[in-house]
Order: sequence, then C-alpha cells, then structure tokens
Amino acid sequence: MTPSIHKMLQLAILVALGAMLFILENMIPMPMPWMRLGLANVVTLLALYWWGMKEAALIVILRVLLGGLLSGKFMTPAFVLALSGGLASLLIMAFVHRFGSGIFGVIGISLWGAIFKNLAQLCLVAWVYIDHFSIFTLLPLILFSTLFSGLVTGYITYRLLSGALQVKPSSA
Amino acid sequence: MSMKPMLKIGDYFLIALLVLGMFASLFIKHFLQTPGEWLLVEVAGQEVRRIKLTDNKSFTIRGKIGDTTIMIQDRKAWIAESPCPFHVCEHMGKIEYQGSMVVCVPNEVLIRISGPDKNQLDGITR
Repeated sequence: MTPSIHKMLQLAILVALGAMLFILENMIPMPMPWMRLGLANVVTLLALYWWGMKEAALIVILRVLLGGLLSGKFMTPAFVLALSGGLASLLIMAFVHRFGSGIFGVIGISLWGAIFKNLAQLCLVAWVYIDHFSIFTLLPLILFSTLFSGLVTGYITYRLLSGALQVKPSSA
Repeated sequence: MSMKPMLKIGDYFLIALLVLGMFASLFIKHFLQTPGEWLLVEVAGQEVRRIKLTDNKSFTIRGKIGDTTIMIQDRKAWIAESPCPFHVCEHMGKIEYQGSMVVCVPNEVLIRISGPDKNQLDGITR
C-alpha cells in the first residue's frame, strides 16, 4: 500500500527535522560523548503517537542516515552510537506505548526511551571502544542526564501532541 | 488530539526511581571509594604501562593520533595534554580512587586507578 502524498510529506518533514536536531546537537561539544539531550527523540515520539512503530522505525533509520551523511559522521563511532541508541530507544518506546499506555504517559515513554538509549550506547562504548566495564562508575552522571533529557523531550512532545502543533497526522 | 493529564502514575514512579537511583549511586560511589595504588595506562584496550601512584612524575604515551601527557602528583593522576580535537579528557579532572578513570576516545588512551593487589589488577570490587 502506498501512503498518500500528505503522509509522505509529513514523514519527510519529520525525517528532516530529526536530522537537523541531530546535527545541531552534535555541534555542541560535551564533557561526555554520550551526554546528549536527544531532541531528535521528539520526532520519533511524535511518529510513534501519530502512526505507530513502523513509521517511527522508518523515521529513526532515515534520520540517522541523513544526519550522518550531512554531518560527515557516516559510519563513524558517533554514527553507530546514534543508530544503536535510536533503535534501542524506539523499541522500548514502542513496547511501552503498545502495552503500557494506561500507566505511562508521553513523559514516561520518553524516559524509557532515554534510559534504553543510554543503556545501549553505554554497553557499546564499554564493549567496543573501551572494552572495560568500570565506565559504569559514571552511573550518577549518566542517570542524571537520562532523567534530564527524558523529561525535556517528553515535555516538548507532550506540548506538541496536546495542541501546540496545528497539524493533524495523515492516516492514509 | 487531546491529551489526558501530563503525568500518569507510572511516570511519577519512573521519575522517582531515577532520582532514587541517582542518589543511591552517588551514595555508594562516595562511601565505597578507596584510594588506589597503581595507575594503569591502556592504549586501544591494551595495557601499556603500570605506575605506582606514589611516584610523582609526568610522561607521554603514544596513542592513535598523537602523544598524550599524563601527570601523577600527590597520589592523583590526570591527563595534562592531549592531541584530541576537543580536549575533553584534559577537563575530566584528577583521579585518585580505585576504579575511576579518564578516557580519551579520539586518541584511544585510557588511564585508570587500581588497588594494591598486583595479581588482580582487573578486579573492581563494587
């Protein structure tokens, strides 16, 4: 089934927005490479709430690819981290959205996403790049950045979903 | 698309859990840290040097993109100079407790502190 032009347009805009946010965020040097606000997650969450997991997955993959190509980071560690983090957070968010919507709101789902994004990236960093697990001594800092980024992205998405954005998702 | 309340019960629970985990890990980190004995230097995952923390000295290590200068003074160690683009590792501060580390990802240099046991240098008791 081919989606309507309207929906394709919305998907494309979300991909472009996500890639933009990803590039902008990567321009800010951070004390820890994985301490990112993860604003691109707003886009994933929007797609998840508007349509579902399939569209959200499409957007995550395309946004990371586009962001990687445009920022010249394609196939670098930063790119691999972004892709694995994005997919891990998407999977958990889709799961919680599907089975835990009664208990968790947008902010809760965003927090789950932030937790799994950090978890995936941390495991990858510990396993591939440093090959040592004492990196987990940074836990307090990681938990703080998880909480902060999860709350910020969740709140932004909540505001967007509850009417700040005068755009209705195309269902076809 | 109208949304129900901003925070649901699970959200509060999750936030509380994260805050609790944050303080618990801070607490554990604060009370379980013991002064270290050795400084281990690894390049690309391979241990290349092992120095007593009681030795006050500075030395350079050849990494992937250049030479990293490491300093030891008053039982504390830190990266004093690095060829990496953002000099993140230079700002990561001084380390003195077992298990703490400073990593320079671009240069693939890692320094970490280990305990007194020479044979179990990889053991981190947490």
